[in-house]
Amino acid sequence: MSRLLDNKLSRRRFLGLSSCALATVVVGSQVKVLRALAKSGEVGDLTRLPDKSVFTSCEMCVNKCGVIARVRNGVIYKLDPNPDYIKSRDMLCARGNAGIKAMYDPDRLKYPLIREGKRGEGKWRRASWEEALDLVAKNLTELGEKYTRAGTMFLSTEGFQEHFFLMLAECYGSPNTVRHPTLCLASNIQGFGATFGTNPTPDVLNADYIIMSGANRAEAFITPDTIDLLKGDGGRRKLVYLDPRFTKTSAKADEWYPIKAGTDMAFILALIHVIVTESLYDRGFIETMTVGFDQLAVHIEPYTPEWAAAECDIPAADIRRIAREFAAAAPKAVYYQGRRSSFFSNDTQMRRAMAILNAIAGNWDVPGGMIPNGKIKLAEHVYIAPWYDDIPDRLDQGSVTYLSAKDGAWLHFRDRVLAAEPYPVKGMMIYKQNPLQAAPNRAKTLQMMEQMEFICTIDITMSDTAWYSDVVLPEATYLERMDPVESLPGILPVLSLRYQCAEPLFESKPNLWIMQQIAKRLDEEVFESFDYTIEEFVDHQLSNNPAAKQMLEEKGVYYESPTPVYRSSYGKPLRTKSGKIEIYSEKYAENGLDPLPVYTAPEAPPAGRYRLLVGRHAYFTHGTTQNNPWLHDLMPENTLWLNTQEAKKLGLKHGRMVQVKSPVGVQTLKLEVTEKIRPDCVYMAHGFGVLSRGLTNIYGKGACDAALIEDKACPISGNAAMHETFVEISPA
Amino acid sequence: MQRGFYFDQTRCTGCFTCGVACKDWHDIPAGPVKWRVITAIEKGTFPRPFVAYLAESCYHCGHPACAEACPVGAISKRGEDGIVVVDPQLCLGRSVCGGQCRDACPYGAPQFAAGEDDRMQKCDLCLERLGRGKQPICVESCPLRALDAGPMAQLREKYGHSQEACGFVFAEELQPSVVCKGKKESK
Amino acid sequence: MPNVRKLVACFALLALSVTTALAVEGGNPKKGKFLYKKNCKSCHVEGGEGKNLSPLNKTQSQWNRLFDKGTHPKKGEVWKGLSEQDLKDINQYLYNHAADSDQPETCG
Repeated sequence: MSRLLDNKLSRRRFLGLSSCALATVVVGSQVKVLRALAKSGEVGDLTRLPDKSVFTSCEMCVNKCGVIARVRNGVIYKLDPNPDYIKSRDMLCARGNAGIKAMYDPDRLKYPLIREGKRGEGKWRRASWEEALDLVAKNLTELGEKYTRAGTMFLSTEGFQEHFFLMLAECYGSPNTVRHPTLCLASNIQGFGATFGTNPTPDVLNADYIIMSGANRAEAFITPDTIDLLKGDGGRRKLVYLDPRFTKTSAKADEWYPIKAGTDMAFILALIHVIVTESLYDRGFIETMTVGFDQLAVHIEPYTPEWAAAECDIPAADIRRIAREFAAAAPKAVYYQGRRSSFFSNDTQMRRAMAILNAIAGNWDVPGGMIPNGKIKLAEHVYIAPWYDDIPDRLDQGSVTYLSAKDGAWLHFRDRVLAAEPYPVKGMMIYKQNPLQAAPNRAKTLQMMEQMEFICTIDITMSDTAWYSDVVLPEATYLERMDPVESLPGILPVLSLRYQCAEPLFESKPNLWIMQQIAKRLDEEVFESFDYTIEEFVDHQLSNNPAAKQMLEEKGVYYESPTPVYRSSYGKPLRTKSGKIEIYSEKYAENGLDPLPVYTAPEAPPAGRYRLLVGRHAYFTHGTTQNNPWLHDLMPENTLWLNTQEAKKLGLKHGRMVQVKSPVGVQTLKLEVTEKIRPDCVYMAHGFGVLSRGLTNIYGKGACDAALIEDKACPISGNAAMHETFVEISPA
Repeated sequence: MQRGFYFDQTRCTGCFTCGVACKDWHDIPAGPVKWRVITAIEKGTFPRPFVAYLAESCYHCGHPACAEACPVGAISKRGEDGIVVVDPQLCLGRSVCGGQCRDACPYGAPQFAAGEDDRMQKCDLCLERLGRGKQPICVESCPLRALDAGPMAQLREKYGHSQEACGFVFAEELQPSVVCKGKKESK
Repeated sequence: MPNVRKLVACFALLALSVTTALAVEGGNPKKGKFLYKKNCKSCHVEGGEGKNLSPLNKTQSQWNRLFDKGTHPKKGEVWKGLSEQDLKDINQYLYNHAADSDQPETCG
């Protein structure tokens, strides 16, 4: 029998209070407890007490909440929140609680696999690590000789061990790292960065007034914001929330406006208009801390609440009132900018408008305002990647105005691979990223993968992307490895790490080990940069901070202050050209971009078609946790939300199957008739309609939004525009 | 001393954490058996829908209908804390008795697994944790701190006497052990 | 030391190496990053002989002024081993990633 099953059994065994037969263990254990209690009023044998508690941090999503793993006989039986981990407010969400199921998951990748049949056919051969790694190294070497080392792209997403993957890309010699931000928050970073020199964090806990759009914080968790957002009745905080869809955040908001999708900028400009024309801004702050207010005052003249009302479907009187309330609450008032957000191709400028509104409220770096992220320093890992003379620039160089050398621009990159311009890319190394679910226009991603000569994916489950790979390498889950210390920036900056809680199951390995093995096979000099153990690496990271080392060992977290530190940026130049907050962006003007955000109305849905919206649920992280048995229970498949009146018009009944057709794909799923969405929009949850039969719980269920969304993007940041696709709905 | 729950509907976001934590702690496999059930109550029409969430489990009623309905007396109410418990040694299983306790309970608390062992199971207020001075796992896990548990007298002192929440009907004759802070339907 | 590994010049590809902001004519920022790590980071690390440095320590114009002088501000001799082109490359890398550069922040 496999080790997994053994472990599952033993987990159950010690969860029960006796060695009673397995079939009755759940009930049986209860009987025992009841018996014990009945006799003495006390619990008998405390078999649930751990023999070991291990600090780690959650990797079910990207928040890295503090976790204490309770371990007994080498098996993890409970994940508890770490009460000292200030960022996550002593909590784990549904995903965090289901983390055990990620490790003890029958669907997880167990051994290295080598493709036998055609790509995507699902015929695999179990291979030894030796054979699989040799094959990866051989392909990387050959591809390098054929196409230069830029001919292999390295796709990854954030995570404590991503550093080693990016190192491998650099040491191997490929400039083509393609990360997640342009499918995420690149436009946000760009818009706020152009204004403040950084993308600050709203001080949710101390804000009295929050306007939120494009950020469904009750479902798209960010800690501590999700927790801090609720003050309950009697709190002074007011939450005004804009969303074309009635989300769980709507249910918690003081006011919800079903804004017309893509018109947020009009709403924000109108708020600025009111605040400026009624002189409700912070004059002293604007004079000392900002540049370009005078240009703004002229610029926003036409953007009246009456004008915005027609654009956004929000009454002018409400806009005017909200602007006044916001200004009255300032500086403890924030326009919450969200994070994982890329909706329209004007997204960067929309974020600029948000940033400018925050700026004129004078909420910069004060309690309840926008706080520049603190970050605790770690000793730098200095390594020297070999220099190769023949490597060209990034493939996507020059494709967008501001390209991140580390992240690239996902959709532009894919287009250039398909055009083989300016040079061919024929190899794919993938760590943790799942582009077949994440990137708009799945058909194009498949095309890109088809023309690859070699694809290797490192993951913990058989994602769609792994399914279409040539070699699949099983990574150990977060509970099975020690990870580097991560310095998490934010309003409550912390150092976080993962101690190993249990031995890796099957033949899964930590990514560092995988990278070391590939590096060794590539070249001794490449390997030089990887020649250490994870413990040595962590020791080095903490070498200049013994206090951090001690606190991490004792509390599983390190922080310098348990509360936000304010005004640390005052008296120093900001990271902008002027050193001040740039309301008017000289830099944008020089690059031929609008120096102040200019509104363009989004295209209206053509007759008979609906705008497809994307969104999040509190139990799914992108395309990764849908197959987790306990989370799958909560939403076994996705549905298409359609407004009741529209469903009536189309004669479509709740629960029937419908076909959804966009210019780039067709999908079929169940219809959900609801009052919780604008009549001009439809919505489906992300992460279903998978291609991989290795995800046994969700294969064949629901529809894939990535197969429908067109690949449009913001030309400034390269961020994908997820809300510019119109779909037709018909009975399936 | 009757023990029970407090539920703050104004804080519950329907995130399902309590449900998953409950399954984890009690080792309930994936599937339809749920000791905690989270439902969304939806009313109104666009553009003014109203949504509230309700997180429920066994309310350990003052007069448990399930106990009365059980043909073999497998369900009893503990004297010291009023926790309603089932003795699986006595329970016949749903396939034999037809699940009379479930039919009697207006809250759907009694649960039955499919398959051979279909004896009743439900929330026991985490008796074993209680014995160690710990809160039930649902209470401890709630990220938004919308749940509490304890002796009813203490809960009433702390949170008042309200038994009103959207989607919840206080069954007078059963006296479910719960106090609530309901979400107002004013909007 | 892993140095110039491949001298096979690939002209077609080199011609594509267009970088947006140029500090100095002809600086190659990628080469600059390599040279910076190899030469500068041996001293400019925490606990090292020089102050810990990163491109973010200075603004673009500060970096340019530093390199305009042509000699290392503290230890004149250390730049002797570097060619004019090497210094241009390092300058370009530091300029491109300076505190006020256009290089956006990232995630993770």
